[in-house]
Amino acid sequence: MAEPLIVQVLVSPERITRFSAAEWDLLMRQAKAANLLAHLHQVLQDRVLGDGIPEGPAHHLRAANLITQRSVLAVRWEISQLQEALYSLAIPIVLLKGAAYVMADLPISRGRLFHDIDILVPRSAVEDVEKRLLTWGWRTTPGSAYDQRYYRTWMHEIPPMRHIKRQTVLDIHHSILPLTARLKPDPQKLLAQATNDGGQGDLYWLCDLDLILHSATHLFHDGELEHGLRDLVDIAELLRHFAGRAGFWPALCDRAQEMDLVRPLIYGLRYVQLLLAVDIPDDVTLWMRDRLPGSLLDSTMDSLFLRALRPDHASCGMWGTGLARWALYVRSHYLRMPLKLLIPHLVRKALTGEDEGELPGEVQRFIANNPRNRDPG
Amino acid sequence: MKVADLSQRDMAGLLTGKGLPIQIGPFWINLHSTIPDLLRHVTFFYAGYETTESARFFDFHITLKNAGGLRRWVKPQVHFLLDEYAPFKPLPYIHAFAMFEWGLNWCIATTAHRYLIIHAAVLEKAGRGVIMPGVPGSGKSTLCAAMALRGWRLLSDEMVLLDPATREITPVPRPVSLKNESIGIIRDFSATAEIGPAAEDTAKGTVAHLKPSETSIRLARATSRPHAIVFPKYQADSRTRLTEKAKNSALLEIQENAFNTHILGKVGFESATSLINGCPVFSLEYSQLEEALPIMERLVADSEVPA
Amino acid sequence: MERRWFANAPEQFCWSIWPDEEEAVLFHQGSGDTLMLNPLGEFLLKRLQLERQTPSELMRSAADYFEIDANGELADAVHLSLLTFRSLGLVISDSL
Repeated sequence: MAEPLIVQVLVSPERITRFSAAEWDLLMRQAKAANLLAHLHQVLQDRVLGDGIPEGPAHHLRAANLITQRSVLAVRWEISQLQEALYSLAIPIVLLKGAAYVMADLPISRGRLFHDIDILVPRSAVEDVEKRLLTWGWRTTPGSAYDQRYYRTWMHEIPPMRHIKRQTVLDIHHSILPLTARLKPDPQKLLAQATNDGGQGDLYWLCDLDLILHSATHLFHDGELEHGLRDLVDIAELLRHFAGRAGFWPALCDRAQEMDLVRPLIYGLRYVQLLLAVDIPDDVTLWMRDRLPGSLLDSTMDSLFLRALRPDHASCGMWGTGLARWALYVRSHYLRMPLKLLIPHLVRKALTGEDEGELPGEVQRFIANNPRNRDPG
Repeated sequence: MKVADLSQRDMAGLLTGKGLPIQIGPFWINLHSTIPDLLRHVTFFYAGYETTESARFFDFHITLKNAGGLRRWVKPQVHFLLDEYAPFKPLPYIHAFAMFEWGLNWCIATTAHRYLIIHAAVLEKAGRGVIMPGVPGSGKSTLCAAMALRGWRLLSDEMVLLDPATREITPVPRPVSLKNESIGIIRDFSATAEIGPAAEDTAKGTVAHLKPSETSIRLARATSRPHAIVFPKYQADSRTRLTEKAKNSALLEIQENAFNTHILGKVGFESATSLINGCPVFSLEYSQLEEALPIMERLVADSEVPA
Repeated sequence: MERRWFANAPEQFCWSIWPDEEEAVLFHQGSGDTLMLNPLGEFLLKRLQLERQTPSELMRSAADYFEIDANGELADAVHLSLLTFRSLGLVISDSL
């Protein structure tokens, strides 16, 4: 099957020098749908291909880059506000995902848009953090009583908080997988290895290896695959950035073992290799093969993931893309929760309220993109 | 090639098929729609705009389509899609063309960050641009429409696209959006005003559009230099009064009226400051168009205002 | 011990000032806010852009600058200004 243009360009950026106007149009649409416009700008600049970009697309790429530059400043500022609000609690505040990439000043933060700020705090401190933030203008986002109970009983985070003035959304985690998940990464170990580059104060972010593991865990267990390609690019860029370091690969595999996150790491590595042509050393490939699930399961997973990870744009839709995302949504719930909890949760999700926005994106899309309308193949 | 060069049938074919390309100011859009109201809107307002038959890059792929589901039989609704993304909740079907205009504003305001984008009308006479920022109710649109009907070139009734480096304004002439009483006022003001159908009970009340002059559309690629900034304020029964406005409060209001000041950051703030410093800034209180218009004329006349 | 205060990301403060107008306009890139400031507010923020200060230090330098008494009224005004700036995310305290 032909890969979407955006994937082709991420793997071989110099392809753009031969692009027609129509191909540029399609590339930009796919990049936008996949939330990869700013990253595309960064990739083309890094390869000194800027001169090969026609004026029209160039404006959009530069605009995406501006938005990213601004949001880096905004994220740093938001974090200063969090510090100001929480410093007297004297607990470690560990940044996750985008906010961590910004504070660690990783190259990946230059081509990324930010939506939420994610922090990890000791479970015992969650209540104090929440109370303190309430006095600083943060409010728990309204949700049904069911949602509240669901979050607080079973999840690894409390319901998101939103700032009343700025509308910024803050996710407060006490672990990186739900309490009910089969995999049990110990949050204490994450906190213990968190780093702040020798800075002072209570602000930390996950160590390099944990950033990668969390990114993979998020993608393959959270089930929000509309931005799957975006998240896969995160993993690829983190790997490319850190892989040059001596002893990186064995350390990553060991840490995955220690954190009980071997499975998500294997998926992450497999798909960044297959889709984004990231170099994985042979001994790591062997390590993966020893731990891979059975071959049948594996080929099913491959076909599901390779479909689901395509950009969320009609030009990239193959027969069964919606179906694949739906199946993976169910799968990720299965990975997070015991079955007796899973069934009521999904049913509940599907029936809640009148607002279609309450339905998981995958379900809506699955219904909307009824495969009967698509040509198979 | 102009949109008017297409037959009604070809236009409908494009709108419902691969899309109708339209060049609007510096932007190319590709418009899809199966909604008859929108075809009429485009035929009436966009006939003089450029289109093309060749494949090209589009800034915005825009689709307006009926919302599906059983609901469409009871209370038909229309969706605005930017490519495949729906930024807004659907609106009642009869608001399709108003939704197109608002949606396009949104597309520009969230994307065109090569400009400082200020929520203001901008018109030009004798090569001199006048910027009129205005909060709702300021009478900005009414004054803008009246000026456009008195021979001013319309650059935009909603957004100033200011180049931070050159301080030139790029036009994006579009149908002037008139709300509520303004519609009647402008009909009374000019017998030749070409006004489209009204959409009632929208979020902004009743909305109708005034067609910009042919010259405004033809000169859409010609940038303009700001010569004065006027903050209009409609005040029923007031005497018409033009007063100089303090630079600091003008800057504050420009920042508040800019759509992308948070994205342009320092560059945007400095370009807003240099805009304020580069031309005189006034407040205009008015109740009668016929009194306000000569004042606007004098602003761009020679020798009256030092640039 | 008094807390010390300083400007939140001093390099992100952009000022526009007109000699014949009393109030200055400030744009802060991090928060994205644009504000109009009275002379005291302008003085305090510019001071905190340069160095960390306790409220008493700030009050003394404000008294010197404006040639006024360092009395309780000024102390209150400085205190109130700091609280406002803090809530706007323009200043942060020495929390280390």
